[in-house]
Amino acid sequence: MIKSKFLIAFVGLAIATVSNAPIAQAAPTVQVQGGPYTGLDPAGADIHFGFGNFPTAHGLYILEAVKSADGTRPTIYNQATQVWVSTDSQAPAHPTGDVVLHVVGTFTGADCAKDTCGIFVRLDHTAPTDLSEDQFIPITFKAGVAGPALPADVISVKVNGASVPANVPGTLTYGSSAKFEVTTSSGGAVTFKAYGPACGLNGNVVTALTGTGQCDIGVTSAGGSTFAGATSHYPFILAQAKQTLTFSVKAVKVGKTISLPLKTNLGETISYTLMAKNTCTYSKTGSVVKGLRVGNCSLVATAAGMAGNYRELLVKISLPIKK
Amino acid sequence: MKKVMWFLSVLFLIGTSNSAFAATSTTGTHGETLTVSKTSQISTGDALKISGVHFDQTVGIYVALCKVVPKGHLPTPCGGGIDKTGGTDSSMWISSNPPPYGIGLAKPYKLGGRFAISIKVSPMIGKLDCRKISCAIYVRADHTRGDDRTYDLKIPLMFKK
Repeated sequence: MIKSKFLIAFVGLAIATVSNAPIAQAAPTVQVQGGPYTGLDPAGADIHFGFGNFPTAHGLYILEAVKSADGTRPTIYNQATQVWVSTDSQAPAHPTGDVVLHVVGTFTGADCAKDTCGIFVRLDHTAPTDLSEDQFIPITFKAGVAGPALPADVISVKVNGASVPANVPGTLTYGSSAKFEVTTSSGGAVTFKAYGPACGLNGNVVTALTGTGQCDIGVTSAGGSTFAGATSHYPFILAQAKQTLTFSVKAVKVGKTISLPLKTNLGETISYTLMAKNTCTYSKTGSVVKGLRVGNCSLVATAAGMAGNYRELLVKISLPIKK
Repeated sequence: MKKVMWFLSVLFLIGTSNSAFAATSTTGTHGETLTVSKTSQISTGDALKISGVHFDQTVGIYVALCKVVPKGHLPTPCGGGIDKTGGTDSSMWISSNPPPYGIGLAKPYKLGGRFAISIKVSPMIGKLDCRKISCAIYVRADHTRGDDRTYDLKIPLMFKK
């Protein structure tokens, strides 16, 4: 069984970015069948889902939310239990599996005894502005049973010194790192978890291990006497790194030598090819250029790339040879 | 004619002898390259320099001396076993995203999917004698992908008799 607590990434992205867009009027294509939808225990209940006509190009987010009064996408939703359903290998729930969403009678900003709560279904982060599959399925809870009394802990995060909201993807290039600094309303300690293999986690530092795909960092607070535990998600879109060659020499004097860098910023060995031999010589040993006569010394520098992480290097170098 | 053949034979032997001491490399299906500093005339306790480049950093690996097995089979047994403790130099765990208990034990990759380690080898793997059977330096995906054989790489070693 795939538990909803294994939430990954991006839920809420489109909610944050297109929250004012009205829910589509056309009937959704995807058929959501599930239950139970009524008589739910406000202290917590599981709703199971199955799907017909599941989208082939995108996944779905399933979340407990409060129906907005103006028909736009919900802005109040249960951040602690949401499910990403997708054929993507990193998704915690597969459309053909047993998809389960855990719902509660009260969550931050919502009291389902007074508000219209329900299951909100929408396309995932691969189609954040596409409302065609948006649908809201009302749910009701049993009366007379007390729900969770404590509000969820509020988790505030800075990544590399800058405040970042939860559920909004940042970008991390291959090999680069993001340092998390976290404060909570409860004042308690937090734990980190990297969902999926694409990012490495060492303490509170996340490193992109590849230049494609995405990863999600879960930050969990255990809560305390005044706040319930909570988990916030900080997804990253991974991007390829740029391979560069750096050297500061601006000119070579006739009869003098300089050494060109042997490695790129990503550690690849650089090969140089001399384009013309009349102004300079190039020696592979030590990667040394010697000025022969006044003019321009042209070389081409190349280095291997790594599929998915960075492209090969191909740089033309023109070194002035001066007296 | 016999002299010519003898001369050519000597040249061949010299050539193969020299190349046997040279670093040997092999490249895997994902573009990763494994290199071992020495592959023949190996003595007990020799420290082999083993390096890799362009390995997939999302996949942890073990590097160890193992009995050669048919392609597609899990390389086993291996010298020193799978060294989850990191306490010996007979095998190595390389991973940039190990499970929580592996943090600090597994050695992370460097940029470009690189690693460079030194492994002390012995011709004995338990009761198996690599002077009598075929052994090799193996790379395989770590226990988090224990059944994934697509990351297996090997470079055979020859021990001194």
